[in-house]
Amino acid sequence: MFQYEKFLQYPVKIAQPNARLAKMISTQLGGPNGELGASMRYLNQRYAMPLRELSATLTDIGTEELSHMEMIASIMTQLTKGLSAAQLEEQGFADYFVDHTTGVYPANASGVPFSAETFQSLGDALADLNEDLAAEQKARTTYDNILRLNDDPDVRDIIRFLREREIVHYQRFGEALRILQDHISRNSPYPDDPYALNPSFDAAEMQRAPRRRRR
Amino acid sequence: MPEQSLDTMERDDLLRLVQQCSFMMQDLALYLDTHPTDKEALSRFMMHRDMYQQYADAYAARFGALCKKQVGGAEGWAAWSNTPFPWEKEAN
Repeated sequence: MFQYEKFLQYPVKIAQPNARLAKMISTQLGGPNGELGASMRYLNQRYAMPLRELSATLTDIGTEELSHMEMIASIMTQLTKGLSAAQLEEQGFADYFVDHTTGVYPANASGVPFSAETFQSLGDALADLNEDLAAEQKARTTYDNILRLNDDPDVRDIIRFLREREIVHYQRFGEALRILQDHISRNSPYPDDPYALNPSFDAAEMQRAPRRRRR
Repeated sequence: MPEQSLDTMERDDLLRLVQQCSFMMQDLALYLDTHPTDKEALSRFMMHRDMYQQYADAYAARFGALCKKQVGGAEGWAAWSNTPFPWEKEAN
């Protein structure tokens, strides 16, 4: 289960409203490489992990992504607060405004609503962890693009923090993949073909394999 | 440990200590998930967990509950429901 803690993972305190920037950053809430998709990806994939430490990694990173989702929504809220309809229009926000006023809605930067098609849960730990590694790099690139496009010091500080977390998650997923590969090479009855079995779906068959001594 | 007493510290400073300890716990947790036998990382996790508890309780007693478990003072339920939400600028 999940319980709420009433503070942000990293403080969001933005002095200068900027609706144009809010729209750009909104893609990290509901876009293809955003925090909502990241969280849903990991929290849904974790049930199929054949090793508990892999489920732990997905649970803990997936939960952190929920905190990042809240930070992005907080940035959007503060960047659009106190602006008149005319100012919002002047700052390129009219198309968002007409559908959502200044409410937080998960969509990409061009307004396309969030889609679960932006992630997979394949029930195969090898495929899922490889997707997770790619996802962290894609999110890192998106944050780099946001950093290229704005010079607000308050926002840049928060985006740099989030960008750094993508790199840490990438590192942890790399270790998780190595743990899984070691498990397959030790326990699969087909040592010459690491892809012979689905390590999640065929978990029982992997456990039945004769235990070979570690080299 | 900060030099100033937790009973007189500014709200922002105390919140920052809570956030820092919470973040250390999160980062160490991810590391421990893939390095579960690392004793030094585990002891650092437990150290920050203890500090987090102390700071969070000191914060809750003066400025409102950070989680529902902390509700119980004279303010009643409002200590949870009627303090600033994290997305408000003044909450940070």
